[in-house]
Amino acid sequence: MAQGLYIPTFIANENFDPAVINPRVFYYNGLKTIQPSPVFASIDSTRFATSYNRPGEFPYFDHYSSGSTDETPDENSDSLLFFNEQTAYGTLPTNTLYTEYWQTYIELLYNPKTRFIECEANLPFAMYRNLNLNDIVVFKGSHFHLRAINDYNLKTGDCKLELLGPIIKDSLD
Amino acid sequence: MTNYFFRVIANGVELDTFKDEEVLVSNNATGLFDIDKLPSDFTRDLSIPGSKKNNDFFQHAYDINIDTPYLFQATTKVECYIEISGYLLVQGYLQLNNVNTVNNQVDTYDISLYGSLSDFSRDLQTNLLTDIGGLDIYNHTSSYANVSDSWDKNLFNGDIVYPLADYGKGFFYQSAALPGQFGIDTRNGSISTQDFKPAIRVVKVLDKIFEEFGYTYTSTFFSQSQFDNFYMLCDRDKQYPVYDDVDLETFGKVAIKPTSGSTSDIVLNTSTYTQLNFDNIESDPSFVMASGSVYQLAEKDVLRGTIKLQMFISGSATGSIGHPQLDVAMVSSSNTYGMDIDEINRYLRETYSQLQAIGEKSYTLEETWVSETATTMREGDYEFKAKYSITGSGDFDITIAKDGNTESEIKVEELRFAADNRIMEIPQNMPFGDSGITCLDFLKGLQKKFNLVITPSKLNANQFEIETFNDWYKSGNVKDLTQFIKMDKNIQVSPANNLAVNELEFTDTLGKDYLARNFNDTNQRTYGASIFRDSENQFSQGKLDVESIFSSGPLRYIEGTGGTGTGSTLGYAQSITYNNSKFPICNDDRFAGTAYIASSRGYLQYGDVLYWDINLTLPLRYYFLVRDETNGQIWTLNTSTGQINGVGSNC
Repeated sequence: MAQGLYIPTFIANENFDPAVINPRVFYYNGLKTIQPSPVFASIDSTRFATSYNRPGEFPYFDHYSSGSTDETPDENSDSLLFFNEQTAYGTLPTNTLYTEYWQTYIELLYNPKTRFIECEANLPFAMYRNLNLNDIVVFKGSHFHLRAINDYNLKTGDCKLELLGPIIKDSLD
Repeated sequence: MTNYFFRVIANGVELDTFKDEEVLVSNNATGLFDIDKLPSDFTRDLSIPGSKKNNDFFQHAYDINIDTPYLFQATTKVECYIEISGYLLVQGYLQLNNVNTVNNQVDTYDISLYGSLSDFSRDLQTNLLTDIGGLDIYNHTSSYANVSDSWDKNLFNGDIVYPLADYGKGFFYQSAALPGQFGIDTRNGSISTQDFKPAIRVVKVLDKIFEEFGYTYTSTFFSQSQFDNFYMLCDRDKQYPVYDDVDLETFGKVAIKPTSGSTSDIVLNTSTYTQLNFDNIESDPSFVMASGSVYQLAEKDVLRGTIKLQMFISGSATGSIGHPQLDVAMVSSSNTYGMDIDEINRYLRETYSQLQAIGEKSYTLEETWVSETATTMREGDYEFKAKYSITGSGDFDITIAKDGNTESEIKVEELRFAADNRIMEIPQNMPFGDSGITCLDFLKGLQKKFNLVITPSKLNANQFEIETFNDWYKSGNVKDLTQFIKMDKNIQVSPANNLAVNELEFTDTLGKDYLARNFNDTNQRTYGASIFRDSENQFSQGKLDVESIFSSGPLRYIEGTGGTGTGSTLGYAQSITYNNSKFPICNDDRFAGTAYIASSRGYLQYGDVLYWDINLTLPLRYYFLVRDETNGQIWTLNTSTGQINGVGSNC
């Protein structure tokens, strides 16, 4: 069975009036065969000769990247959606933007065991300068993510620290 | 801290400061609990004395007249950096907010110091994607050659690719077409250059934004190969791309009708054309209509539109009558181009074949027309004209717009090659939304999609590092602060999720797109959105949307595509490929592509019917020449049936 043609469409209503749309992003997965393909008309630069082409393919744009075997998505494809919707072609990918990029972070914040610690410290300026917010802080033998260094007094070194822990399990890998 | 000193150096000048100035700074991890905000680095308000050195500096940098200090240019930014005890604390800029005077002498200057990230954010906030002039390196000529080259990533090495998308044309295939309509798989309904808008590699937009405002970035994340195929549509919201020299939304479009109450019937005859003098110009936004209902075509093109004709047909013949066939054309002083009105003629043919008398009848018939020509219409001044012929016998008389009837209408809705060979300017075709998409919106959109952490480089001025949170948190170092934390002060410990909202929705913006809204109405959620609810904590409250500026919506199925054919039940289908460049047989209207016949003999012969599809369901209509690449033989085709009806030759 021949597959249908599925393409991005940007319209304001069912009458196909053009729409004011927000930016749209896609993966370009290369050319996909379609039979019969649309006919493409063109005229040359001198406006003398016209031609009508039927390339047999169309440029396939989708929310999902191509799979490992062909241009259609498979379960390992990348997604541009936080939740994967039904695919037009291929197989629904497993990962979403949420699972790929947000889940670890959200699980840190919402883990019932995660504790938020506020404390005061006095840091030498050299230490302050070398601290990065992705550093893992050791405090009394336990590891914490450094959430914030607030009100660091450049004259005295006094400051307020915000820590989160326990740390994400692969932080020390 | 010993030997503490604090220096503000602006434009290479060290400003005087109050020596007892206490400066407090804060650093917060990107987005923790503030997910929808870009991180900000050093921002500080300071007062510095009205010393001679400072007066000299501010007079120069801000054009301050000491006598009238309120006239200074408050919007000027001055590059500066701040040193603490000889260490660079932050590089950014200084902004003068107030000049405070006492007894006509400057007492203090109130200034704000911003870190480079704050500066960067401000620049991005005040500039739109359409303002990124550096994207003009991607300007190019609009042509099918460039469109099709882009598909193989041969246009700017793949930085620009043209998707096949529908921006309001309402694509469908012929098998789903209503009578009088043309699918995009037919020559009359073909897609042309103007139906394509470019897409640009997202990473290239990011590069240009940083470059435009004098910054750089490093990112192992965006260096990954997957982003080679990550594109943003250059869609400025209308149906067609935006060009400097023409508005394709209105270019060449007209709608004309007979004048209301006119007593001048348009009586057609069979031998010569009569002008359809529709002098009520309903719409002519590009001013192509001249007096006398004359359409002025500026360049060679193919026109498409709709025609509605209110006809009064009369005659006295009875018995075995024939039927009239209309011939509507655009006629200039030197050329006549027919308008394809097959459906109107089919209706007349079928109607009168069942009648025994002509009598008097009125019809209002409408269909889509395309200028019906083997080549294209030449530029010139055209009148819409009509005549008719009679197949069989009968004394048919045809009158259009009888007794001042105003139902008739001719519309020109599209000039097929209106965009060809114009200059596609990428900056002005960048997304604009309702009121402009700022560069900051764009960057934050990416940040929210991929949970990016954006930090100023500690090594290089005006450089940022962009990584995902997942990569960022693993790239820090372990530092023992036990000895620096004040154990004698209060240490407050609380569950982290008490500080967070109960519900997080990760989503793109719904926007005004009909398909996305339709999905939302049907499913009660935004397309592609994910909702996280904190089911563990009964105290957390509220909801936060992690919403990107981008929108998403389902791909649309093009009606009439696909199919359920069972293969070749008519015989063996065979592919015959023709090549434009190698075998130029005619500049226009040759078939160039793959067609199928119900035979496995390996070559074409008289009587073969050519089909678009391997299932042999769609005859190859609208072409009159075909070249058999296997032996060089050129054949002529019946344009209605796709059947080979004779031997052809090169044009």
